[in-house]
Amino acid sequence: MTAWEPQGSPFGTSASPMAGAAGIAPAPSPAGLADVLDRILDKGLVVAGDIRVDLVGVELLTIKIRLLLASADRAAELGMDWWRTDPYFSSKALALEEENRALRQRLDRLEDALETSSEEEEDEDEYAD
Amino acid sequence: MDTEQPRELCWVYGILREGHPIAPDMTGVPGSGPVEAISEGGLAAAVSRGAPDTMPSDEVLMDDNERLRTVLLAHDAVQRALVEDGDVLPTRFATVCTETDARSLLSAHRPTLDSAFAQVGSQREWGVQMFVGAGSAHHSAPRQRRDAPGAGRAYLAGRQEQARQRGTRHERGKRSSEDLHGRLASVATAGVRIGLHAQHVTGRTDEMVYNASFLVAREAEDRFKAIVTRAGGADITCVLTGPWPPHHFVDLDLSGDANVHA
Repeated sequence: MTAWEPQGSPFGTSASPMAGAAGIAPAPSPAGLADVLDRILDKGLVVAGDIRVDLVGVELLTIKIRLLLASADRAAELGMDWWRTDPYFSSKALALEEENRALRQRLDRLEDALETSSEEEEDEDEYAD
Repeated sequence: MDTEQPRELCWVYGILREGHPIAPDMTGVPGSGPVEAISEGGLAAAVSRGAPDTMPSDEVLMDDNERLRTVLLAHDAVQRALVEDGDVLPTRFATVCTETDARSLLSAHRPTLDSAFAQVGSQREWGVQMFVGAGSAHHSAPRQRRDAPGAGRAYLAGRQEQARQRGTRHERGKRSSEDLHGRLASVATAGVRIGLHAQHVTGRTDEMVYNASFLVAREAEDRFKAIVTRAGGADITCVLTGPWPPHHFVDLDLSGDANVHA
């Protein structure tokens, strides 16, 4: 496994920040969204206040996005879980769901097997579910 | 503030030195035109123009997550493209003003902006993250016949062992990241630690134990990257992001200054 995984812009077109860096090819990944948020929320030059014309809700926006990143469940409740529709994240989620399903099936089989083995029944009941 | 609705607004990406090249085909955030420079007295604001009703509004950004995501990424893409070709003082996301205001800003705050450029110079921001542990944790679960007697107990014992290993890994990761932080800080001009991302955010199976960002002089970038490269290990992965404009290292709030409208 490579110890260094350079991540470029989530946009394939305009920026290719790692190109040419130490001869390592860029590996753009949409996972960079959280890294983007680390940097463009609350950061940089503030020229707001006096001259911002219509975006009065930047602080609210920031709160919203922070909330979104803080809690997956809460975000889902509020319909803010965009990563679920992101192909990158959803493929991960699918893999986890698949694994989860396989584990449940395995547990079911184990429990069935245990039911037929009366001497272990009591012990294992504690772990059922 | 002018109560009359302006016909055109500028979405601001950052402050540049005058003459900073901007690719003619660089697109701005959705609802605005191509990125261009508004120059005034030796400095320039990188902006894209749009009508008030096409520019991403509060309502859209608050209510439409997909649009918000697109605008966030577009804003970032422009800033990162700009930093490839020169120095950028990045402005905060969703800074919108009229052209007149942008010009006033540049002239009214010229000394402050000049000194910010002098301080940051051509240095850029680089992000470093460390992840420990692995998706391979599941593979280390005991493998045996699924219907063998005692298989359930062995499975649970295996899970306990995994939890213990995870604790150990986490400790080791923390130590490695402390060590890494020290080495990176010795090469960088400045550094900040950032909050860790949960796994549902990173989309990775291993755990983030370190997240930091550094201001690095261009001549020190190779040394900096080499440190990151060497820091990886068996179940430790280091990720480098960048170069970014110096978001964490430009701490200027010009909003309270009444001179903006002078």
